[in-house]
Amino acid sequence: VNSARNAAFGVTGFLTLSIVILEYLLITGHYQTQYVYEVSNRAAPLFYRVTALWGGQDGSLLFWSWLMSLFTAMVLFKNWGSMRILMPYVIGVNQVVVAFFAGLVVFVANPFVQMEFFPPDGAGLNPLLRHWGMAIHPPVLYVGFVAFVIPYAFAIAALITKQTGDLWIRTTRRWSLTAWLFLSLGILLGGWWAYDVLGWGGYWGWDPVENASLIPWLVGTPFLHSVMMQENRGMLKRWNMALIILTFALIIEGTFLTRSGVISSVHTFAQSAIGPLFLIFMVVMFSFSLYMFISRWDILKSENELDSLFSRESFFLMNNLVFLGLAVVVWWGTHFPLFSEAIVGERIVVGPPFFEQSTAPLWAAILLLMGIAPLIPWRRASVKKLWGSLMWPAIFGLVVVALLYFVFNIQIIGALFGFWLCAFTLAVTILEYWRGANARHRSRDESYPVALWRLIGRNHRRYGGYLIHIGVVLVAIGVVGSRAYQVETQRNLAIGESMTISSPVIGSYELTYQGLRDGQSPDDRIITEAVLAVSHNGRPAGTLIPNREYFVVQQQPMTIPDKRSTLADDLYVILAGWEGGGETATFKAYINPLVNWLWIGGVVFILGTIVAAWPTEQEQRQQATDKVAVPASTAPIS
Amino acid sequence: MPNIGYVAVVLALVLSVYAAVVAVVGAQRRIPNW
Repeated sequence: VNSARNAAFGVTGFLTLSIVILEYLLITGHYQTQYVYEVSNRAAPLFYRVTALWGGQDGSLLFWSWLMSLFTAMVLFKNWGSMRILMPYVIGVNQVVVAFFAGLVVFVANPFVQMEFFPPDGAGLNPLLRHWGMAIHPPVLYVGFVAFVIPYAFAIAALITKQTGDLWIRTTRRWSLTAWLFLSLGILLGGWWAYDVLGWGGYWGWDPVENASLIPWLVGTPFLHSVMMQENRGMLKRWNMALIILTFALIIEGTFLTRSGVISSVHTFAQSAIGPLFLIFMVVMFSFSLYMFISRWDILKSENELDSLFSRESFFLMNNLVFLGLAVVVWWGTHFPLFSEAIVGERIVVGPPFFEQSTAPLWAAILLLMGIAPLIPWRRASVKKLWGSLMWPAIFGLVVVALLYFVFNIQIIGALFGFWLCAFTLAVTILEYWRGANARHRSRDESYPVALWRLIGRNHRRYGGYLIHIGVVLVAIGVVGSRAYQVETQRNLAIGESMTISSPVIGSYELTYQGLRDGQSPDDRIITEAVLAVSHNGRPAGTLIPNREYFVVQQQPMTIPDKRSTLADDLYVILAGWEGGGETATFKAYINPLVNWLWIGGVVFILGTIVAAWPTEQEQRQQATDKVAVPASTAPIS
Repeated sequence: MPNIGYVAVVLALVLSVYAAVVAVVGAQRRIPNW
């Protein structure tokens, strides 16, 4: 087994070497290497030469294998002494996955293939990907995907060794959280990039590739919640096992979908031979996991029964079911073209309306559960007490809704209900902080800021979790505002002419076209900018300069929007086209109310996850003693 | 140079298969009755 560990370290070493070499080829511009030729060129700045490593399929698969082997090495390094029984199988599972990806690189997607001649310059990176958000979005998402292999490997190891207590969960909690953090961040970055670059006024298009990253998230999130049940009450063991297996299977399946070209998408990367291989790997991994799961069914029995329908346990269960419901709906919608083709012979694509209508009630249910669950104690709750603590947040929500209705003119029922949920959940969560801090303030005579700080410091998991909840509420505010009240208009303007776009909630903007001009072009682009003077409700509000970038080498234009962002809304303008050298031009304008809360919420969300994953002082001490104690008391295995 | 990169990935593949097999076989042989 020691030899296996050394071999695993060796794998990491060799993959690191090949990554370094590929980076070297990319940076120095070795265009005889076909991959380098495809994703890079002389004019590209250093940053994009480095990130071109994952700019194409071959490189990203190599990057993926490298990450996985790196994580394996980290786990081996950290947990070798304390996890003697699980470890060999953890290595086994991890290395099988690494071997599959390395095998793909070796046999199918080799980035080191040489061409017969030495071209003077490369073809250059896809222009759409030249945005710093897009440069870091793939690796962030990959880290999220790949890091889930660690809890998965531990789960399988636990099944094989029949160690089905909460050992595997406690060991991998931080891995799961980290994976989840990166997955969430990757999804957010993807949305932000779409909003910032693609120029269609939205951030989420329910595209198969987007869904492929959302579906594992929708299964991973209940996993993070339901593991608490196993740790606290020894319940839901089967459920947790099933969730982590499913999360991992969905990650592989999502990768298969987006890489194989089975479902066409606006950003399917490549259609290649790796599709069927992925499918086979997926089926093998999943069948094996399922077999292990079923064969250990009996020892995964719950230690406790559900005491009451009105308990935190049952609310966790409901949260899980709703999340899974969402996952099923999104999965079904994403795969629907496949089913319809197989059954009626025609590809029927379901669009965003399907997803929005069918998921909206479920998202609402999640917000509601998020507001109630933290207040319910384990085992059993009294309805009377619960109502006492829920009443004020509920009333607060109603006051907010009344204010929105009468003062801000918000009258769409769905939006009002959404905002009520947000206000309610926000109030509950903030009250939780207040109660904790107030108790410390009274009993220990700490000032409020100190009390709050120490409160969070003593229980990172709980209060980090609440911070995540606040982030989710802010995201929800952004989504409800921008979905319910987005306004869109398009017009052709001559120089000096104006267009007006008005929203019942935000007021109206007047845009006056002042002409086209040539922009500064840093490398191989021709940039044409349109200048628009903006006034908001009659007052001047600066200028907006949406532009059109033309990538000479790739002969591809890109439409870059410009925005006027405030906390209340975004005015988002696109230069759709022009005639007569700019005498007239066509503009598309959107008002996206509250959309910036989505990004603010995202930041809070990420912060909350970091707090939740950060070890408390107590845990740090515990870990230090673990490390000293274990090697002394047990003989090393070999 | 590119060849070294390729060979490194091939070696990584071989080692990972080796690691997976040895880990599982080793674990099953040395410690009975898990």
